[in-house]
Amino acid sequence: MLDERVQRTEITEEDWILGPPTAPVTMLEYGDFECPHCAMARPVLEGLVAENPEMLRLVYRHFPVTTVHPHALMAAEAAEAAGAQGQFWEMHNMIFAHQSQLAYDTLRACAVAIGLDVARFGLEMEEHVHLPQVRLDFRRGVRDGVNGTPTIFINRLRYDGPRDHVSMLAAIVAARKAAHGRVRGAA
Amino acid sequence: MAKGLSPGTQAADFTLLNGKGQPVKLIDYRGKNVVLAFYPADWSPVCTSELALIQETLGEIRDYNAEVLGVSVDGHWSHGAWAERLHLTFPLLADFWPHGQVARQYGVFRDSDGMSERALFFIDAAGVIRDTWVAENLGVAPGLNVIFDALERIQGARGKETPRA
Repeated sequence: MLDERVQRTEITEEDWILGPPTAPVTMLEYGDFECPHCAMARPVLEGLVAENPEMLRLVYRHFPVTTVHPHALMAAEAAEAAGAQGQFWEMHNMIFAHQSQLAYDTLRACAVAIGLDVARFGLEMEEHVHLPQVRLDFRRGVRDGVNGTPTIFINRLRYDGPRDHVSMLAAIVAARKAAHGRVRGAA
Repeated sequence: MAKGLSPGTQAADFTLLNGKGQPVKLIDYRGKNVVLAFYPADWSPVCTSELALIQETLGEIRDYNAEVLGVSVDGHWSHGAWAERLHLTFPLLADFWPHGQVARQYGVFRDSDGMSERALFFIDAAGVIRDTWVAENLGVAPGLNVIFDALERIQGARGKETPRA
């Protein structure tokens, strides 16, 4: 019998992180830009980070499920291309806001709207410069035990509960308490 | 785990119809590892997610000399339509009549609602069950690590660190 619900991979400085590095609670999301459940979770997760700036940070990794979401891989590459110009989260939000129409033209329009160097964006998309990063995220997701999108880990433990504000805040507070106990125990 | 056939036992053979209405026999997969994936119902949200992830990683699963067989109590017409919708290329088998007979053989039939548990049986090339996983909560799909950890234990580490995404 095997069932491990623990994040195995480490968060690195290469990851996309929203919130302070000192936050005692880290929420890792594996997401797919074309997945409606991810779009629904987005405001909840970002609201939690905004309301708990000292306590919580959010890490986003790509997990495009391409057989059911034909645009998800290209959208992930587009977010990475924006990230290369320092605007990952802006693009991430734009893409989710246009989730139902993620053809290349829409992604390019998103890039224009957030003020990217569109020539560079277009070239990097054409040459799939950021595809290896997306693939790396996917492999990390397999190792960590993604079981759908989104899959969320709270301080390395997979959270399979409901993705509403109240339930998630309770899980985050519990994780902070557990982390605090560990620190005191170690002292 | 109390539920289901135990590791070390011979996998019970069966013949079930796939989504094209053709008979599929487990014994014909001798020489391959088999991921036998019982799931409660075609078209349901969690099963959709679970099977889509299996399809997404099917190439990596096959790198472990393994094939996936999905099984539910739905009929083969439903299987065919659902597989087409999800672009699934591995067989879905209809444990439809006698209703849930194969799920019963594997100890994962639910008398309470007539569906099977969400369960994975990892069967090696000799037809022996090597690992099992049964969901504690029907609404939670297995992490992909469950599948790849089991295959690695059966087949060795090849491919584990470098699956194609």
